[in-house]
Amino acid sequence: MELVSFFKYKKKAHISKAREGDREAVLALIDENKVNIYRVARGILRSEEDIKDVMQNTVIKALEKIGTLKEDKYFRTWLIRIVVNECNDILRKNKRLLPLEGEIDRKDDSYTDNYENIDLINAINSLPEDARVTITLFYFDDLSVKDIAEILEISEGTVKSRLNRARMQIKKLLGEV
Amino acid sequence: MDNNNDLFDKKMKAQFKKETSIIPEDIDKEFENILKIESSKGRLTMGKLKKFGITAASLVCAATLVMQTAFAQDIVNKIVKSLSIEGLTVYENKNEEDMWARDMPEAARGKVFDAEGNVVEKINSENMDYLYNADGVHVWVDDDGIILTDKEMDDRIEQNRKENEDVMLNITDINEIWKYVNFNVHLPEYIPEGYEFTSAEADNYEKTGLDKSYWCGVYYENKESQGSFYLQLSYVDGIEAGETFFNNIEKGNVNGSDAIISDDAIVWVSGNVRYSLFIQSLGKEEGMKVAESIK
Repeated sequence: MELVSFFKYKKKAHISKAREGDREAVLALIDENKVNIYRVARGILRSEEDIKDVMQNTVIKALEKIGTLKEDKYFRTWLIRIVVNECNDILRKNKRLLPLEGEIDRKDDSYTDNYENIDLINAINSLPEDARVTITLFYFDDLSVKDIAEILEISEGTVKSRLNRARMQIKKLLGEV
Repeated sequence: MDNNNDLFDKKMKAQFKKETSIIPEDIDKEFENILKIESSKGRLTMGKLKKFGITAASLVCAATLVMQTAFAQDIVNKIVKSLSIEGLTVYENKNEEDMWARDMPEAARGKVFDAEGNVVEKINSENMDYLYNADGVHVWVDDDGIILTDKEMDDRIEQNRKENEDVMLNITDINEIWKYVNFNVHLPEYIPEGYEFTSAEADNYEKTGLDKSYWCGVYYENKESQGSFYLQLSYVDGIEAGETFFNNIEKGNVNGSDAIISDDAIVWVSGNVRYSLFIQSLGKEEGMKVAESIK
């Protein structure tokens, strides 16, 4: 089987084609956004294996759900919502796997982490889940508070308060206060 | 937002971008892989998993295959989920297609019957163990449509074993497996009632030029119930990558190690060794007991 390069698909990355069910167009769009998918997953999850799973499952879910994308302009937030949902799914499953409440830290430490020298990511990773997800979306690119509220299906006020809380904690962790 | 926060956020956004702008190679590789697999759908004729051998032991063998990418692409139908563990990606299909389903091969058409004497036109996982010839003798049908009695099947298996001797070791003493492999072999302390070790296999490293085998497979059978389970241990070198697919995959844990648990197998890695325990005959609960007794 020919192992095709996805570079060629980038030329075909048209959202409208994707919405019409053009499989290759969807894949091309996903490929264009793979760094975005990775960034969000990297901010929210600690384990490299979990990040891999989320990235792969995002492809599958995006293909399945492309029909639910209402307008072309929402493609990026639509895709990020899928990523966040997949991350939340993994977080929920990981929680269920923890045998005892007091073992959370030990479990987290056992995850593969090849990024030991990365300060901000480590700081974000140490935040509580809701703050971690919100601040990741905020720092990952230029997502507005409104976009984040839509993705997380919470109010803009809640986004702002989570951001404030997360910002304060990160400042403390990075020794900026 | 005050100016201090504004400045802080700008700095953090730049830092976040810097720290996450490069996707690690192995993650990128697997991502490309899933794109390719998804891309292949629709323009390829979906093949089925190659079927071979028909005894309980070889059923297990078929499920053991860790497929290379090109092969996986041919058999993937509708992947709905994937989980990864140390170089192994496990996919789950949307349609739980019967991987053994096939039309009766032409050479055997009209010559194979069910227990009631009806002609069998399609072979599947339900009827494959209950096929009979016109004389009511239990038979097996291979992919070429050759009809084999139990005795003929045993002879074929023995012949295959002899032909494979050059590349595969057949180990009959469970206490000697360690001699042939390059890692510490840990086997289950708990064996369900009625099951016993029957044989093990590994690369014939002397013939293949390796220092020792980098994997081994251990068979257990329950002669009364005809049930079997199989444990494959593979040295994880951090380079090898493979794929397979199981039904109903979920994350789990075996003795503190992340695991993938499915209806077909439990897979986990401990001390550079990947354990793949195939549990179709045992079920999940009993399978987990066996897995957790490997320490």
